[in-house]
Amino acid sequence: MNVFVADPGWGWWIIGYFFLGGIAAGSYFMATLIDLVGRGGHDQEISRIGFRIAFPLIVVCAVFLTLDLEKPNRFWHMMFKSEVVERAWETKSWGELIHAPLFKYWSPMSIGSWALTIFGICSFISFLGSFRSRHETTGIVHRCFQIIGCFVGFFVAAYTGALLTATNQLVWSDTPWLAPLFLASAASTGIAVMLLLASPSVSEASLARLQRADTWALGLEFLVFLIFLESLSSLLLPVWQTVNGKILIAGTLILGLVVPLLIHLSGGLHRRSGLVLASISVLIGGFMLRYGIVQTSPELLAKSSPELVKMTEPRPVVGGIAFPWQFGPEQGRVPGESLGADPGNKVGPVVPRSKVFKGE
Amino acid sequence: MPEPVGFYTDTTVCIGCKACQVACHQWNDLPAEPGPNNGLPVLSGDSYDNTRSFSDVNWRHVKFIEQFSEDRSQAAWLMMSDVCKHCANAPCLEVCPTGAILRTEFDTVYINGPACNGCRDCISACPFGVIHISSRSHTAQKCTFCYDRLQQGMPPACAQACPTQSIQFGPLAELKKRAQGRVERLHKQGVTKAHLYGADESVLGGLNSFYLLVDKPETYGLPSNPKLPSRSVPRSSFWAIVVAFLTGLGALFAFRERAQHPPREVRL
Repeated sequence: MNVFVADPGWGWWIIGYFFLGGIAAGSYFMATLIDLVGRGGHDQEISRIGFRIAFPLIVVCAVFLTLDLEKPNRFWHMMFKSEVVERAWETKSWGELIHAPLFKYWSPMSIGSWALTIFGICSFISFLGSFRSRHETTGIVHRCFQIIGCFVGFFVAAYTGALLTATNQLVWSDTPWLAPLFLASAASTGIAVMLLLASPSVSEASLARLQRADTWALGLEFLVFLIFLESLSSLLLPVWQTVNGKILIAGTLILGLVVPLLIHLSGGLHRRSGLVLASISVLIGGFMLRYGIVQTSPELLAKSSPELVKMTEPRPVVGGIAFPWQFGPEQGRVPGESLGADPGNKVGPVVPRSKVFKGE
Repeated sequence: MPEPVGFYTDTTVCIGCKACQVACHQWNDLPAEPGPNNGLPVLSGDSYDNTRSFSDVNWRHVKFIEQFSEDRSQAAWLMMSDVCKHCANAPCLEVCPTGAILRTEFDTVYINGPACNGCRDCISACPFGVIHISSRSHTAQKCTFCYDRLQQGMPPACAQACPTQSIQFGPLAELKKRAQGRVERLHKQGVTKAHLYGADESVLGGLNSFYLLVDKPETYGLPSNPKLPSRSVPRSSFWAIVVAFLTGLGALFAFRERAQHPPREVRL
């Protein structure tokens, strides 16, 4: 735990991205799995709905992410070395562009940018396929895109949690359970949107199967959420004492998990309105989870009480498996021996900022 | 290639004059942080510390730490000029997705403004709260270790301005030797709490800007055990894969089982 950090100021755009990105990824991988193992004609309508949700939402997510940047026009710097691209552009030496892609496998934000791009392509193809007949979308190429999209969808659902964990911020970096939690929540919120949109038109049997999958996803999320709370250990009380912490814990637990689980387990299927209510509850809870996680950390930091400072001693982490290997070139780097995680960019001519230097 | 350079900050001789802060502002052409009253900075009421933290325009920060005995009959001041640590294993450089944060030939960590797109991942990764976003350039800002001066063979402005040699600049190996000697002298003088922070590999592989402290690191606002962000990724990913597997399994069972056996009639 570290209370000496600065707040990155991630706000509504990022919360919106985490929420909608989770739904897009969750609905895509669920749609793919249903398409692969479900009962062709009967369940196809559900998988169509999943594919029709994923692509528009991921486009909205890309807009949110770009708007969150302080320099939105430089969004492409996430994937390409700007120095190399600009030099190639100026000198018209296009062959240099082969050195332009920037991929840091140890940085969740870098790998996430590529994953989003691949997911966007796959979800676009599946989106188009969802308007065609079944026999037109069972070709090997289409299936390949679907399966790749499914795996990348799982990744997109989880990496946002890993991105928060790979920081030094309070709460975020104090647990390894954000990535699994976001993934479980992506599944439940993705299914919730599918249930909402499917309930008026899809067959009862398919709806029953989707509800069964939702109950499983919610049960899994419930378990992961409890482990997440346990992993916060001594930080749990300070988290609960914040406004956003209450939204996170109570909101997620009650609205996101307990209420929909009770509706499902008490035979909510007998009333379509029950399914709708459960789905809306899951979505509100899923939003509260993302909002609570993102906002609790800065609120706790702003309080930064002496008690928190006293709690900064290292402590065991639940699920803290020790991995023996190094992950990324910055780990174990010795000064002067290598560039570490620097991808080898060269600084352009550095113009001294001082007026003294300029003789002004 | 020049050898790695660094700062050795001996907090026991810092007098809190803020010459380093002024020199940094002047050399780097940094404006004063505007306050709410006519753009003038306000008095914080926090000892003599009116900038209070690092910011986009305060790349150095002199801390005034007041310590009182329980009955408040005795008081002491700890002062420390804080700056970017230019870590050997730099969290900001590690997470930066644009490659805007890079390592110079002097082994210092430098933000290349034109490449930065303001994603703020470096802010969340820095364990020392050093990096901030500029409201003018909209890019990440921090100490450059006076890269422009180093290229001209000049020492950083803060080290040159420090009147008590609390901030010392030079080759890293030489500075560490000098600092170790100072700690031994202080121990002989009875200052047994004197120790070095960041001189060895225990803190992020070693800090190019390390400190001589006479209290716990937390007293100075420094974390004892900062971590490199990538250390969390494998175990976080492992549990995510486990949950992904279970999620997929649930979906497969929900749809596969019913595919083999026709579902019972359910009235809606």
